[in-house]
Amino acid sequence: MDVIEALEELGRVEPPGTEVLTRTADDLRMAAGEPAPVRRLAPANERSLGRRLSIVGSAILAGAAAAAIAALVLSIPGSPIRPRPAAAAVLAQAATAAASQPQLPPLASGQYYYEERISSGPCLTTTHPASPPPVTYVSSEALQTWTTTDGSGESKSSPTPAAHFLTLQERTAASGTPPLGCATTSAATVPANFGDASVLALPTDPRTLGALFAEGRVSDAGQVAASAPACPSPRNPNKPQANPCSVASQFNVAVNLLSFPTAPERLGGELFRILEKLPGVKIIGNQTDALGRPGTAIEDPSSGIIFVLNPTTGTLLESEKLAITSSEGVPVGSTLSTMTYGPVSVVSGLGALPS
Amino acid sequence: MDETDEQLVAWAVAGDQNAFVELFWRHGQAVHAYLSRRAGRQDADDLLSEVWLRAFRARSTWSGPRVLPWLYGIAHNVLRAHWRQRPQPVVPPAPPDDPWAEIDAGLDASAQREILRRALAVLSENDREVLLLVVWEQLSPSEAAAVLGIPQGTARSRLHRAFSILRVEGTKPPIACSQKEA
Repeated sequence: MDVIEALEELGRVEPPGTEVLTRTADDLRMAAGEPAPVRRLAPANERSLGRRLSIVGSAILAGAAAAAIAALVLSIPGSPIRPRPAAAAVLAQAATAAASQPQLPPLASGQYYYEERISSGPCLTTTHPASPPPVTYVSSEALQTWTTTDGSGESKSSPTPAAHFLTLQERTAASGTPPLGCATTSAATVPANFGDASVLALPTDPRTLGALFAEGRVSDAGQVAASAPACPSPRNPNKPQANPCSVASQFNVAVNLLSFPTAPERLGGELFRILEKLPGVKIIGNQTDALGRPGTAIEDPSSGIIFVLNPTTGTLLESEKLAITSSEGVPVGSTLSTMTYGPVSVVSGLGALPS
Repeated sequence: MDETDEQLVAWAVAGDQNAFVELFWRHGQAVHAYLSRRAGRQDADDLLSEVWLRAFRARSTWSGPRVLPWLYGIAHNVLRAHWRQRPQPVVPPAPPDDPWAEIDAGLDASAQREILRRALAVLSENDREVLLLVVWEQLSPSEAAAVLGIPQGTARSRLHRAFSILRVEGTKPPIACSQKEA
Protein backbone atom coordinates (compact mmCIF):
# COMPACT_ATOMS: atom_id res chain seq x y z
CA MET A 1 0.00 0.00 0.00
CA ASP A 2 1.30 3.44 -0.97
CA VAL A 3 1.98 5.74 1.93
CA ILE A 4 -0.44 8.32 0.60
CA GLU A 5 -3.12 5.69 0.10
CA ALA A 6 -2.57 4.57 3.66
CA LEU A 7 -2.88 8.14 4.82
CA GLU A 8 -6.08 8.55 2.86
CA GLU A 9 -7.44 5.38 4.42
CA LEU A 10 -6.57 6.73 7.82
CA GLY A 11 -8.71 9.77 7.02
CA ARG A 12 -11.75 7.79 5.97
CA VAL A 13 -14.70 8.71 8.18
CA GLU A 14 -18.35 7.82 8.43
CA PRO A 15 -20.85 10.37 7.09
CA PRO A 16 -22.88 12.34 9.61
CA GLY A 17 -26.33 11.18 10.65
CA THR A 18 -29.49 12.69 9.24
CA GLU A 19 -30.32 14.32 12.56
CA VAL A 20 -27.02 16.20 12.64
CA LEU A 21 -27.51 17.50 9.10
CA THR A 22 -31.14 18.46 9.68
CA ARG A 23 -30.30 20.21 12.94
CA THR A 24 -27.59 22.28 11.30
CA ALA A 25 -29.82 23.16 8.35
CA ASP A 26 -32.48 24.33 10.80
CA ASP A 27 -29.93 26.41 12.70
CA LEU A 28 -29.02 28.06 9.42
CA ARG A 29 -32.66 28.71 8.57
CA MET A 30 -33.12 30.32 11.96
CA ALA A 31 -30.04 32.45 11.43
CA ALA A 32 -31.40 33.47 8.05
CA GLY A 33 -34.66 34.57 9.61
CA GLU A 34 -36.89 31.58 8.99
CA PRO A 35 -38.50 29.55 11.79
CA ALA A 36 -36.92 26.17 12.49
CA PRO A 37 -39.30 23.32 11.76
CA VAL A 38 -37.67 20.83 14.11
CA ARG A 39 -36.15 20.87 17.58
CA ARG A 40 -33.28 23.17 18.38
CA LEU A 41 -29.76 22.12 19.29
CA ALA A 42 -29.70 21.06 22.92
CA PRO A 43 -27.28 22.87 25.27
CA ALA A 44 -23.84 21.27 25.48
CA ASN A 45 -24.38 19.90 28.97
CA GLU A 46 -27.61 18.21 27.91
CA ARG A 47 -25.89 16.66 24.93
CA SER A 48 -23.10 15.34 27.15
CA LEU A 49 -25.58 13.89 29.62
CA GLY A 50 -27.56 12.33 26.81
CA ARG A 51 -24.37 10.92 25.37
CA ARG A 52 -23.49 9.24 28.64
CA LEU A 53 -26.95 7.86 29.28
CA SER A 54 -27.89 6.58 25.87
CA ILE A 55 -25.18 4.30 24.57
CA VAL A 56 -27.69 1.64 23.56
CA GLY A 57 -30.16 4.24 22.34
CA SER A 58 -27.46 5.87 20.27
CA ALA A 59 -26.70 2.60 18.57
CA ILE A 60 -30.35 2.16 17.71
CA LEU A 61 -30.67 5.77 16.56
CA ALA A 62 -27.49 5.49 14.57
CA GLY A 63 -28.87 2.44 12.81
CA ALA A 64 -32.14 4.19 12.10
CA ALA A 65 -30.34 7.32 10.93
CA ALA A 66 -28.06 5.25 8.72
CA ALA A 67 -31.05 3.48 7.22
CA ALA A 68 -32.82 6.80 6.67
CA ILE A 69 -29.83 8.45 5.06
CA ALA A 70 -29.17 5.35 2.98
CA ALA A 71 -32.72 5.52 1.68
CA LEU A 72 -32.24 9.17 0.80
CA VAL A 73 -28.86 8.64 -0.75
CA LEU A 74 -29.81 5.61 -2.81
CA SER A 75 -31.94 7.74 -5.09
CA ILE A 76 -28.95 9.88 -6.05
CA PRO A 77 -26.22 7.68 -7.52
CA GLY A 78 -22.71 8.84 -6.82
CA SER A 79 -23.75 11.37 -4.21
CA PRO A 80 -22.87 10.54 -0.60
CA ILE A 81 -25.04 13.35 0.72
CA ARG A 82 -28.69 14.13 0.14
CA PRO A 83 -28.86 17.07 -2.20
CA ARG A 84 -31.93 19.16 -1.68
CA PRO A 85 -34.65 17.68 -3.91
CA ALA A 86 -35.99 20.11 -6.47
CA ALA A 87 -39.52 19.82 -5.04
CA ALA A 88 -38.25 20.60 -1.55
CA ALA A 89 -36.44 23.68 -2.82
CA VAL A 90 -39.59 24.95 -4.55
CA LEU A 91 -41.71 24.23 -1.48
CA ALA A 92 -39.21 25.95 0.79
CA GLN A 93 -39.36 28.99 -1.47
CA ALA A 94 -43.16 28.87 -1.40
CA ALA A 95 -43.12 28.56 2.40
CA THR A 96 -40.99 31.67 2.72
CA ALA A 97 -43.16 33.57 0.27
CA ALA A 98 -46.42 32.44 1.87
CA ALA A 99 -45.22 33.44 5.33
CA SER A 100 -44.67 36.98 4.12
CA GLN A 101 -48.01 37.32 2.32
CA PRO A 102 -50.17 40.19 3.57
CA GLN A 103 -53.30 39.37 5.55
CA LEU A 104 -56.66 39.63 3.82
CA PRO A 105 -57.99 43.18 4.24
CA PRO A 106 -60.62 43.56 7.00
CA LEU A 107 -64.23 43.81 5.86
CA ALA A 108 -66.23 46.98 6.21
CA SER A 109 -69.92 46.75 7.05
CA GLY A 110 -71.82 44.82 4.36
CA GLN A 111 -68.69 43.62 2.57
CA TYR A 112 -67.86 39.98 1.78
CA TYR A 113 -64.88 37.95 0.77
CA TYR A 114 -65.45 36.58 -2.73
CA GLU A 115 -63.71 33.58 -4.23
CA GLU A 116 -64.34 31.68 -7.43
CA ARG A 117 -63.13 28.15 -8.02
CA ILE A 118 -63.46 25.91 -11.02
CA SER A 119 -64.14 22.28 -10.29
CA SER A 120 -63.97 19.63 -12.97
CA GLY A 121 -63.84 15.88 -13.28
CA PRO A 122 -65.61 12.89 -14.79
CA CYS A 123 -69.23 12.66 -13.80
CA LEU A 124 -69.59 8.90 -13.54
CA THR A 125 -72.43 8.40 -11.15
CA THR A 126 -75.32 8.95 -13.52
CA THR A 127 -76.30 7.04 -16.62
CA HIS A 128 -78.03 9.02 -19.33
CA PRO A 129 -81.63 7.83 -19.56
CA ALA A 130 -81.49 7.73 -23.32
CA SER A 131 -78.26 5.82 -23.38
CA PRO A 132 -78.20 2.65 -21.31
CA PRO A 133 -74.43 2.24 -21.51
CA PRO A 134 -72.82 4.79 -19.17
CA VAL A 135 -71.22 7.78 -20.84
CA THR A 136 -68.34 9.74 -19.39
CA TYR A 137 -69.13 13.39 -19.08
CA VAL A 138 -66.38 15.62 -17.79
CA SER A 139 -68.24 18.18 -15.76
CA SER A 140 -66.89 21.64 -15.07
CA GLU A 141 -68.46 23.99 -12.56
CA ALA A 142 -67.73 27.47 -11.36
CA LEU A 143 -68.10 27.62 -7.58
CA GLN A 144 -68.62 31.13 -6.27
CA THR A 145 -68.63 31.91 -2.56
CA TRP A 146 -69.33 35.08 -0.63
CA THR A 147 -68.38 34.83 3.03
CA THR A 148 -68.00 37.17 5.97
CA THR A 149 -65.34 36.98 8.66
CA ASP A 150 -67.32 34.37 10.64
CA GLY A 151 -67.44 32.10 7.60
CA SER A 152 -71.16 32.59 6.88
CA GLY A 153 -72.48 33.59 3.48
CA GLU A 154 -73.66 32.04 0.25
CA SER A 155 -72.34 29.77 -2.44
CA LYS A 156 -73.41 29.20 -6.02
CA SER A 157 -72.34 26.61 -8.57
CA SER A 158 -72.97 26.74 -12.30
CA PRO A 159 -71.67 24.77 -15.28
CA THR A 160 -68.91 26.27 -17.40
CA PRO A 161 -68.40 25.87 -21.17
CA ALA A 162 -65.41 23.64 -20.45
CA ALA A 163 -67.68 20.71 -19.58
CA HIS A 164 -67.64 18.04 -22.28
CA PHE A 165 -68.21 14.43 -23.17
CA LEU A 166 -65.09 12.33 -23.10
CA THR A 167 -65.53 11.17 -26.70
CA LEU A 168 -67.55 12.25 -29.70
CA GLN A 169 -69.20 8.82 -29.72
CA GLU A 170 -70.44 9.33 -26.17
CA ARG A 171 -71.74 12.79 -27.06
CA THR A 172 -73.63 11.32 -29.97
CA ALA A 173 -74.99 8.48 -27.85
CA ALA A 174 -76.26 10.97 -25.29
CA SER A 175 -77.68 13.30 -27.96
CA GLY A 176 -75.48 16.05 -26.61
CA THR A 177 -77.42 16.27 -23.34
CA PRO A 178 -75.35 16.06 -20.17
CA PRO A 179 -76.26 13.19 -17.85
CA LEU A 180 -78.65 14.12 -15.07
CA GLY A 181 -76.96 15.84 -12.19
CA CYS A 182 -73.75 16.47 -14.04
CA ALA A 183 -74.34 20.06 -15.14
CA THR A 184 -76.70 21.88 -12.83
CA THR A 185 -76.89 25.29 -11.28
CA SER A 186 -77.42 25.45 -7.55
CA ALA A 187 -77.17 27.90 -4.69
CA ALA A 188 -76.75 27.32 -0.98
CA THR A 189 -76.45 29.24 2.24
CA VAL A 190 -73.15 28.81 4.04
CA PRO A 191 -73.60 28.63 7.82
CA ALA A 192 -71.40 30.61 10.19
CA ASN A 193 -68.14 28.97 11.27
CA PHE A 194 -68.34 26.54 8.41
CA GLY A 195 -64.93 25.63 7.15
CA ASP A 196 -62.38 28.25 7.99
CA ALA A 197 -63.07 28.33 11.72
CA SER A 198 -61.25 25.01 12.29
CA VAL A 199 -58.38 26.09 10.10
CA LEU A 200 -58.09 29.37 11.93
CA ALA A 201 -57.89 27.46 15.22
CA LEU A 202 -54.91 25.35 14.14
CA PRO A 203 -51.61 26.10 15.90
CA THR A 204 -49.23 28.27 13.91
CA ASP A 205 -46.12 27.03 15.70
CA PRO A 206 -44.40 24.89 13.04
CA ARG A 207 -43.19 22.26 15.47
CA THR A 208 -46.60 21.79 17.07
CA LEU A 209 -48.39 21.68 13.73
CA GLY A 210 -45.78 19.33 12.27
CA ALA A 211 -46.15 16.96 15.22
CA LEU A 212 -49.95 16.93 14.86
CA PHE A 213 -49.55 16.09 11.18
CA ALA A 214 -47.03 13.34 11.85
CA GLU A 215 -49.42 11.80 14.39
CA GLY A 216 -52.26 11.91 11.88
CA ARG A 217 -54.41 14.09 14.15
CA VAL A 218 -55.33 16.83 11.67
CA SER A 219 -58.31 16.27 9.38
CA ASP A 220 -58.51 17.70 5.88
CA ALA A 221 -61.04 20.22 7.22
CA GLY A 222 -58.70 21.38 9.96
CA GLN A 223 -60.18 19.59 12.96
CA VAL A 224 -57.67 18.20 15.45
CA ALA A 225 -58.35 14.79 17.00
CA ALA A 226 -58.09 14.69 20.79
CA SER A 227 -55.75 11.72 20.64
CA ALA A 228 -53.48 10.19 18.04
CA PRO A 229 -55.20 7.57 15.87
CA ALA A 230 -53.72 4.15 15.21
CA CYS A 231 -51.14 4.20 12.42
CA PRO A 232 -51.57 2.26 10.21
CA SER A 233 -55.31 1.88 10.41
CA PRO A 234 -56.19 -1.54 11.87
CA ARG A 235 -58.96 -1.92 9.29
CA ASN A 236 -56.75 -1.16 6.27
CA PRO A 237 -53.18 -1.82 7.40
CA ASN A 238 -51.79 -1.96 3.86
CA LYS A 239 -53.53 1.08 2.39
CA PRO A 240 -51.49 4.31 2.71
CA GLN A 241 -54.54 6.49 2.13
CA ALA A 242 -56.21 4.85 5.13
CA ASN A 243 -53.17 5.46 7.34
CA PRO A 244 -53.60 8.93 8.86
CA CYS A 245 -49.83 9.17 9.46
CA SER A 246 -48.82 8.24 5.92
CA VAL A 247 -47.27 10.62 3.43
CA ALA A 248 -50.39 10.28 1.28
CA SER A 249 -52.63 11.41 4.13
CA GLN A 250 -50.39 14.24 5.28
CA PHE A 251 -50.04 15.50 1.71
CA ASN A 252 -53.79 15.36 1.17
CA VAL A 253 -54.55 17.21 4.41
CA ALA A 254 -51.94 19.92 3.81
CA VAL A 255 -53.14 20.62 0.25
CA ASN A 256 -56.76 20.70 1.41
CA LEU A 257 -55.96 23.15 4.17
CA LEU A 258 -54.07 25.38 1.74
CA SER A 259 -57.28 25.62 -0.28
CA PHE A 260 -59.17 27.36 2.53
CA PRO A 261 -59.38 31.05 1.68
CA THR A 262 -57.94 32.32 4.94
CA ALA A 263 -55.37 29.55 5.40
CA PRO A 264 -52.55 30.62 3.08
CA GLU A 265 -51.63 33.88 4.73
CA ARG A 266 -51.93 32.38 8.20
CA LEU A 267 -50.62 28.85 7.79
CA GLY A 268 -49.19 28.80 4.28
CA GLY A 269 -45.57 28.89 5.41
CA GLU A 270 -46.04 26.06 7.89
CA LEU A 271 -48.09 23.91 5.49
CA PHE A 272 -45.58 24.25 2.67
CA ARG A 273 -42.84 23.42 5.19
CA ILE A 274 -44.69 20.22 6.13
CA LEU A 275 -45.04 19.31 2.44
CA GLU A 276 -41.33 20.05 1.92
CA LYS A 277 -40.35 17.39 4.43
CA LEU A 278 -42.54 14.58 3.08
CA PRO A 279 -40.45 11.93 1.32
CA GLY A 280 -41.25 10.98 -2.27
CA VAL A 281 -42.84 14.30 -3.17
CA LYS A 282 -41.54 15.34 -6.57
CA ILE A 283 -41.66 18.18 -9.01
CA ILE A 284 -43.38 17.58 -12.35
CA GLY A 285 -42.53 20.84 -14.05
CA ASN A 286 -44.07 24.09 -15.17
CA GLN A 287 -47.82 23.97 -15.64
CA THR A 288 -50.55 26.50 -16.38
CA ASP A 289 -53.79 26.25 -14.45
CA ALA A 290 -57.33 26.47 -15.84
CA LEU A 291 -57.29 30.24 -15.36
CA GLY A 292 -54.14 30.56 -17.44
CA ARG A 293 -51.80 31.30 -14.52
CA PRO A 294 -48.31 29.78 -14.75
CA GLY A 295 -46.98 27.74 -11.84
CA THR A 296 -44.99 24.70 -10.77
CA ALA A 297 -46.64 21.30 -10.46
CA ILE A 298 -45.76 19.11 -7.46
CA GLU A 299 -46.89 15.49 -7.09
CA ASP A 300 -47.18 12.96 -4.32
CA PRO A 301 -47.33 9.61 -6.13
CA SER A 302 -48.59 7.76 -3.06
CA SER A 303 -51.83 9.76 -2.96
CA GLY A 304 -52.15 10.61 -6.65
CA ILE A 305 -52.49 14.29 -5.76
CA ILE A 306 -50.86 16.97 -7.89
CA PHE A 307 -50.99 20.64 -7.10
CA VAL A 308 -49.82 23.70 -8.95
CA LEU A 309 -48.40 26.56 -6.96
CA ASN A 310 -46.80 29.88 -7.63
CA PRO A 311 -43.54 29.51 -5.70
CA THR A 312 -42.77 33.20 -5.76
CA THR A 313 -46.00 34.11 -3.95
CA GLY A 314 -46.66 30.85 -2.10
CA THR A 315 -50.12 30.66 -3.66
CA LEU A 316 -51.96 27.42 -4.34
CA LEU A 317 -53.35 27.67 -7.86
CA GLU A 318 -54.82 24.27 -8.64
CA SER A 319 -55.05 20.72 -7.33
CA GLU A 320 -55.69 17.52 -9.19
CA LYS A 321 -56.47 13.97 -8.07
CA LEU A 322 -55.36 11.04 -10.19
CA ALA A 323 -56.63 7.49 -9.98
CA ILE A 324 -53.94 5.34 -8.37
CA THR A 325 -55.86 2.08 -8.27
CA SER A 326 -58.03 0.39 -10.84
CA SER A 327 -60.92 0.34 -8.37
CA GLU A 328 -61.58 4.07 -8.80
CA GLY A 329 -63.71 3.65 -11.92
CA VAL A 330 -61.26 5.06 -14.45
CA PRO A 331 -57.89 3.82 -15.72
CA VAL A 332 -54.95 4.30 -13.33
CA GLY A 333 -53.38 7.69 -13.95
CA SER A 334 -56.59 9.31 -15.19
CA THR A 335 -57.75 12.56 -13.65
CA LEU A 336 -60.51 12.07 -11.12
CA SER A 337 -61.00 15.71 -10.27
CA THR A 338 -59.43 19.13 -10.64
CA MET A 339 -59.97 22.25 -8.58
CA THR A 340 -58.67 25.65 -9.60
CA TYR A 341 -58.52 28.32 -6.90
CA GLY A 342 -59.17 31.89 -7.95
CA PRO A 343 -57.92 34.83 -5.93
CA VAL A 344 -59.85 36.01 -2.87
CA SER A 345 -61.08 39.60 -3.06
CA VAL A 346 -63.35 41.93 -1.14
CA VAL A 347 -66.73 42.78 -2.67
CA SER A 348 -69.48 45.16 -1.66
CA GLY A 349 -72.19 42.60 -0.86
CA LEU A 350 -73.74 39.19 -1.46
CA GLY A 351 -73.80 38.36 -5.16
CA ALA A 352 -71.45 41.21 -6.05
CA LEU A 353 -68.41 40.47 -8.20
CA PRO A 354 -64.94 42.01 -8.08
CA SER A 355 -64.60 45.10 -10.19
CA MET B 1 -28.78 23.90 -14.10
CA ASP B 2 -27.44 23.97 -10.54
CA GLU B 3 -26.14 27.23 -9.24
CA THR B 4 -22.44 27.44 -8.48
CA ASP B 5 -21.23 27.72 -4.91
CA GLU B 6 -20.18 31.25 -5.65
CA GLN B 7 -23.68 32.20 -6.83
CA LEU B 8 -25.21 30.71 -3.70
CA VAL B 9 -22.92 32.75 -1.45
CA ALA B 10 -23.65 35.87 -3.47
CA TRP B 11 -27.39 35.30 -3.14
CA ALA B 12 -27.01 34.65 0.58
CA VAL B 13 -25.18 37.96 0.91
CA ALA B 14 -27.99 39.61 -1.05
CA GLY B 15 -30.56 38.26 1.42
CA ASP B 16 -31.77 35.01 -0.13
CA GLN B 17 -32.74 32.99 2.94
CA ASN B 18 -32.48 29.61 1.27
CA ALA B 19 -29.18 30.00 -0.53
CA PHE B 20 -26.91 29.26 2.39
CA VAL B 21 -28.98 26.24 3.41
CA GLU B 22 -28.55 25.02 -0.16
CA LEU B 23 -24.80 25.48 0.20
CA PHE B 24 -24.94 23.48 3.42
CA TRP B 25 -26.66 20.52 1.75
CA ARG B 26 -23.93 20.64 -0.85
CA HIS B 27 -20.92 20.77 1.49
CA GLY B 28 -22.20 19.81 4.93
CA GLN B 29 -20.76 16.35 4.75
CA ALA B 30 -17.34 17.54 3.60
CA VAL B 31 -17.09 19.95 6.51
CA HIS B 32 -18.30 17.26 8.89
CA ALA B 33 -15.60 14.92 7.54
CA TYR B 34 -12.98 17.64 8.08
CA LEU B 35 -14.06 17.97 11.70
CA SER B 36 -14.47 14.25 12.23
CA ARG B 37 -10.96 13.42 11.00
CA ARG B 38 -9.43 15.85 13.46
CA ALA B 39 -11.71 15.77 16.47
CA GLY B 40 -13.68 12.53 16.19
CA ARG B 41 -17.24 11.99 15.12
CA GLN B 42 -18.98 13.06 18.31
CA ASP B 43 -17.27 16.43 18.47
CA ALA B 44 -17.81 16.84 14.73
CA ASP B 45 -21.54 16.36 15.30
CA ASP B 46 -21.45 19.02 18.01
CA LEU B 47 -19.29 21.52 16.10
CA LEU B 48 -20.83 21.26 12.64
CA SER B 49 -23.60 23.73 13.38
CA GLU B 50 -21.18 26.25 14.89
CA VAL B 51 -18.99 26.15 11.80
CA TRP B 52 -21.91 26.81 9.48
CA LEU B 53 -23.40 29.53 11.63
CA ARG B 54 -20.03 31.27 11.74
CA ALA B 55 -19.76 30.91 7.99
CA PHE B 56 -23.24 32.36 7.54
CA ARG B 57 -22.44 35.34 9.72
CA ALA B 58 -19.19 35.86 7.82
CA ARG B 59 -20.69 35.27 4.37
CA SER B 60 -19.93 38.80 3.22
CA THR B 61 -16.22 38.24 3.89
CA TRP B 62 -15.86 35.43 1.37
CA SER B 63 -13.82 36.57 -1.59
CA GLY B 64 -13.30 33.39 -3.60
CA PRO B 65 -12.24 31.72 -5.69
CA ARG B 66 -13.61 28.51 -4.07
CA VAL B 67 -16.04 28.22 -1.20
CA LEU B 68 -14.90 24.92 0.30
CA PRO B 69 -11.39 26.08 1.37
CA TRP B 70 -13.06 29.10 2.98
CA LEU B 71 -15.37 26.76 4.92
CA TYR B 72 -12.40 24.62 5.99
CA GLY B 73 -10.70 27.78 7.22
CA ILE B 74 -13.67 28.55 9.44
CA ALA B 75 -13.79 24.93 10.61
CA HIS B 76 -10.07 25.18 11.39
CA ASN B 77 -10.69 28.22 13.61
CA VAL B 78 -13.64 26.56 15.33
CA LEU B 79 -11.51 23.51 16.06
CA ARG B 80 -8.70 25.62 17.49
CA ALA B 81 -11.13 27.40 19.79
CA HIS B 82 -12.59 24.03 20.74
CA TRP B 83 -9.19 22.60 21.61
CA ARG B 84 -8.26 25.67 23.60
CA GLN B 85 -11.27 24.97 25.78
CA ARG B 86 -10.75 21.22 25.93
CA PRO B 87 -7.36 19.88 24.81
CA GLN B 88 -7.62 16.93 22.50
CA PRO B 89 -5.05 14.57 20.98
CA VAL B 90 -4.09 16.04 17.62
CA VAL B 91 -3.18 12.69 16.12
CA PRO B 92 -6.23 11.17 14.46
CA PRO B 93 -7.87 8.44 16.50
CA ALA B 94 -7.10 4.86 15.56
CA PRO B 95 -9.83 3.23 13.51
CA PRO B 96 -11.63 0.37 15.21
CA ASP B 97 -10.13 -3.07 14.69
CA ASP B 98 -11.98 -5.30 12.31
CA PRO B 99 -11.77 -8.91 13.56
CA TRP B 100 -13.22 -10.25 10.33
CA ALA B 101 -10.69 -8.75 7.98
CA GLU B 102 -8.25 -11.06 6.23
CA ILE B 103 -5.22 -11.65 8.40
CA ASP B 104 -2.58 -10.64 5.86
CA ALA B 105 -4.35 -7.51 4.68
CA GLY B 106 -5.17 -6.59 8.23
CA LEU B 107 -1.60 -6.97 9.41
CA ASP B 108 -0.28 -4.99 6.48
CA ALA B 109 -2.83 -2.22 6.87
CA SER B 110 -2.46 -1.95 10.61
CA ALA B 111 1.34 -1.87 10.31
CA GLN B 112 1.08 0.88 7.71
CA ARG B 113 -1.36 2.80 9.86
CA GLU B 114 0.95 2.51 12.84
CA ILE B 115 3.84 3.90 10.81
CA LEU B 116 1.67 6.74 9.62
CA ARG B 117 0.38 7.50 13.06
CA ARG B 118 3.93 7.64 14.37
CA ALA B 119 5.01 9.85 11.46
CA LEU B 120 2.08 12.20 11.96
CA ALA B 121 2.96 12.46 15.61
CA VAL B 122 6.52 13.45 14.65
CA LEU B 123 5.28 16.22 12.38
CA SER B 124 4.70 19.65 13.80
CA GLU B 125 1.10 20.73 14.02
CA ASN B 126 1.62 23.26 11.23
CA ASP B 127 3.22 20.79 8.83
CA ARG B 128 0.64 18.13 9.62
CA GLU B 129 -2.28 20.43 8.94
CA VAL B 130 -1.02 21.37 5.49
CA LEU B 131 -0.37 17.71 4.68
CA LEU B 132 -3.81 16.61 5.80
CA LEU B 133 -5.57 19.40 3.93
CA VAL B 134 -3.87 18.22 0.76
CA VAL B 135 -4.35 14.49 1.29
CA TRP B 136 -7.67 14.34 3.09
CA GLU B 137 -9.48 17.41 1.81
CA GLN B 138 -7.92 17.22 -1.66
CA LEU B 139 -6.93 20.88 -1.61
CA SER B 140 -4.04 22.31 -3.56
CA PRO B 141 -1.14 23.76 -1.51
CA SER B 142 -2.42 27.23 -2.46
CA GLU B 143 -5.87 26.44 -1.11
CA ALA B 144 -4.37 24.93 2.04
CA ALA B 145 -2.48 28.19 2.49
CA ALA B 146 -5.75 30.11 2.21
CA VAL B 147 -7.40 27.85 4.80
CA LEU B 148 -4.60 28.42 7.28
CA GLY B 149 -4.06 32.06 6.47
CA ILE B 150 -0.40 31.60 5.52
CA PRO B 151 1.56 32.52 2.38
CA GLN B 152 1.54 29.99 -0.42
CA GLY B 153 5.31 29.56 -0.23
CA THR B 154 5.05 28.73 3.45
CA ALA B 155 2.41 26.11 2.75
CA ARG B 156 4.59 24.56 0.05
CA SER B 157 7.61 24.36 2.29
CA ARG B 158 5.56 22.88 5.12
CA LEU B 159 4.14 20.30 2.74
CA HIS B 160 7.60 19.46 1.42
CA ARG B 161 8.86 19.02 4.96
CA ALA B 162 5.91 16.82 5.90
CA PHE B 163 6.44 14.59 2.86
CA SER B 164 10.15 14.33 3.66
CA ILE B 165 9.38 13.04 7.13
CA LEU B 166 6.83 10.62 5.76
CA ARG B 167 9.43 9.39 3.30
CA VAL B 168 11.74 8.58 6.17
CA GLU B 169 9.02 6.94 8.21
CA GLY B 170 7.20 5.28 5.38
CA THR B 171 8.28 2.80 2.81
CA LYS B 172 7.54 4.59 -0.46
CA PRO B 173 8.41 8.01 -1.88
CA PRO B 174 5.76 10.70 -1.52
CA ILE B 175 4.05 12.53 -4.34
CA ALA B 176 5.50 15.86 -5.45
CA CYS B 177 3.83 19.12 -4.53
CA SER B 178 3.61 20.19 -8.16
CA GLN B 179 1.36 17.26 -9.03
CA LYS B 180 -1.47 18.67 -6.93
CA GLU B 181 -1.01 22.21 -8.10
CA ALA B 182 -1.08 21.28 -11.76
